[in-house]
Amino acid sequence: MPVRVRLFGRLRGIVGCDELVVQGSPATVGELVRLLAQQYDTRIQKELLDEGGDIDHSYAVFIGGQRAGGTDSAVQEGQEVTITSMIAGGFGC
Amino acid sequence: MLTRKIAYVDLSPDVSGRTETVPPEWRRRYVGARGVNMHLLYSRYPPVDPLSPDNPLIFGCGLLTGLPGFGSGRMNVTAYSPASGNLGDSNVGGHFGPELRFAGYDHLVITGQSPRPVYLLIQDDRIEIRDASRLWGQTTLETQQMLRHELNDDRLRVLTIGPAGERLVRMASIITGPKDAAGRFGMGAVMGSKNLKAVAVRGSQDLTVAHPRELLDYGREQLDALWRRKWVQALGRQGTPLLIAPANEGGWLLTRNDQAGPLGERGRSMYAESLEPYSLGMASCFGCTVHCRHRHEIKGGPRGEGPEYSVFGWGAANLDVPDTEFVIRANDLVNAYGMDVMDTLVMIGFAFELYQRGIISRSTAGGPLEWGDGETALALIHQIARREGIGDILAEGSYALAKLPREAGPYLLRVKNAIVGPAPGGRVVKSFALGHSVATIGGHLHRNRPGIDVLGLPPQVLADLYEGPASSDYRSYEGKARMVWWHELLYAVCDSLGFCRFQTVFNSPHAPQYPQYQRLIQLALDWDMSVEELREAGERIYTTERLLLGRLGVGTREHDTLPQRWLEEPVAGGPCQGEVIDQAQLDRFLDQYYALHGWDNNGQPRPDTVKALGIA
Ligand code: SF4
Repeated sequence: MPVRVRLFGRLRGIVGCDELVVQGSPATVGELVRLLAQQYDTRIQKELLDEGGDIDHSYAVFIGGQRAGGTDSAVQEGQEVTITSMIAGGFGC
Repeated sequence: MLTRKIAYVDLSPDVSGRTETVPPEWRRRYVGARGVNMHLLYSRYPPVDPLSPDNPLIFGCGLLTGLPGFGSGRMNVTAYSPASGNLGDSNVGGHFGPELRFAGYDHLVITGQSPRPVYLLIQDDRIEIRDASRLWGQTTLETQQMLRHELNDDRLRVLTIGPAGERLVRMASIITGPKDAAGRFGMGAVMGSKNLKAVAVRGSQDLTVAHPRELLDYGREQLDALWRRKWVQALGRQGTPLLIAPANEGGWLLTRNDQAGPLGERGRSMYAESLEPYSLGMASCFGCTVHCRHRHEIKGGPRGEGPEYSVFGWGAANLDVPDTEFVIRANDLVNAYGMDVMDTLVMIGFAFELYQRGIISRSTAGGPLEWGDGETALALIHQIARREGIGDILAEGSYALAKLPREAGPYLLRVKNAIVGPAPGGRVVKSFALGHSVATIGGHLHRNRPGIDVLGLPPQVLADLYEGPASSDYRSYEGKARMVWWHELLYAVCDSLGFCRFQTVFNSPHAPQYPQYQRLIQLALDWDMSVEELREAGERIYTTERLLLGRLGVGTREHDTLPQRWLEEPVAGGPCQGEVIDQAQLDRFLDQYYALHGWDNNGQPRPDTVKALGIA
């Protein structure tokens, strides 16, 4: 089942488009990132993950409207994934 | 840099000014800017009516304002606040602060009242009070242009009020450049009450530093390290509007004066990308390579700077107008009139809710006030600035409640009579909400905004940063007293050095803080100031502010609370539905927080703490 991934922020600038569709059925965010890198651009993995292999804190990943806690967060069939830039904030400035 | 001056100017007729060297022990103990401003206020100026001639308007540059790097263009403006009736303090960027230092001054204390409109011209040692009658009534940008033209100096730096400050609108700001604002707490109304339209400065003096070459090398090394960070690059590309996406997706960017849930799919039309058609590139304050602010142009309209995330939050989301062009127009209008963007938009949302609830009638409002009506919101900005119609009531900010039916009270979200409004995240991000209850300028995020816990970092990263446990779950209360306290001390030091918050532990844990500050102070001033000494200075500044609140009658536990809506009404929809602040958790937070500061259980600084900090 393909997964629709919407991009906002820095990653959109790097990849050069606002939406990607991943072929396959990734069960976790980590698998999704690996497939994105394989199918589109290897820079995605380097950009999205930190040195320890988890989601870099300058990004936030939302799955079906809920924030993913890490690369082992589950991706369910049919859920939309949104990736945004992130800094601490969003409450006031 | 090594010896600095304070200029005292009294605008009343026949009173002469004077200058004084900043006592070295003040700089060592209160650092500069906000810290020294607070010491001046506490030790020399008892509370007065904020709009009276005796209220001192204190401009203060940081200990390191004007050095290359670290966003060192910042300064603080401090006075008793006509917006809250309590303590007022506002931090402003741009280029004015460094220029004031190049003229030889670190602080400027303005008292008295001129019988007619005047402006202050500072050219190195010469300070003149000049007639400003032709500037009166002009917008903030026009005033700056007129002064530059008249004085034939393109590099003149100006802090000015707009028509709102002249009319004593309680949320009037002081502006420099197109949008840099000492925005909060009505500092523009204080300036207006003195008949002071502007302060213009041009300096030609060097800032002498102890170790120039090493300072430049170290500054470059730190800037390079900062610029390699992904979050800095993201901020430099999209500015604070990059936050609209995670805040809306995460469900803490709420609507309709915090009554309704997030905008959801509709909100996507105003994510940072929507600014691109209007953008003319990014601009910077003095000494900053991050360049986080947009320069924009609406076709056929004037150029401007911004808008920041806050205008999207308090304007577009709050008023249910997810339209980027509306946000830009509101931003430019508020800045041209010289008003605080947050308080102005909060007052408009408040009026919309009163109308929705039938608390104010169509005739009082001057027409329907409907959620989603951007044109009416823009019309209200004009009315507030000109004090026309219902705008005359809204221009009173918190004091508008005295002119409205009693039922209106709970819908204006306040802490210590300072407007909080529907701060995005108010019931969701617990550290952020709890911080509002104890902020020394009333409910305002910038005294202690933690928020590192929204990054989802491993708990150990937070434990190392805060030197104690703090939950990395932003909905949890655990360890949040420690976070709030830790950030209060750091921000007091950062402000007092004259550095930008965006270049310290504000957006990321991996940003400069005490060790880097310690090294910079050593290279600039040849002072060996330990990390402990810096932290103690932060505690001294914060406790001085708390003592000032005590003098103003709001420095005890009963005043450390939150808006009723945050305590009683759970978030109405979206991913954060049901979130609310638990009163018992707030009480527990206060116990822990007071203990960390060395204050008693009623929130008053203990005598031994005051003595140990040497506050007098
Ligand atoms: S990061 Fe932004 S606000 Fe801070 S100094 Fe730089 S341009 Fe100014």
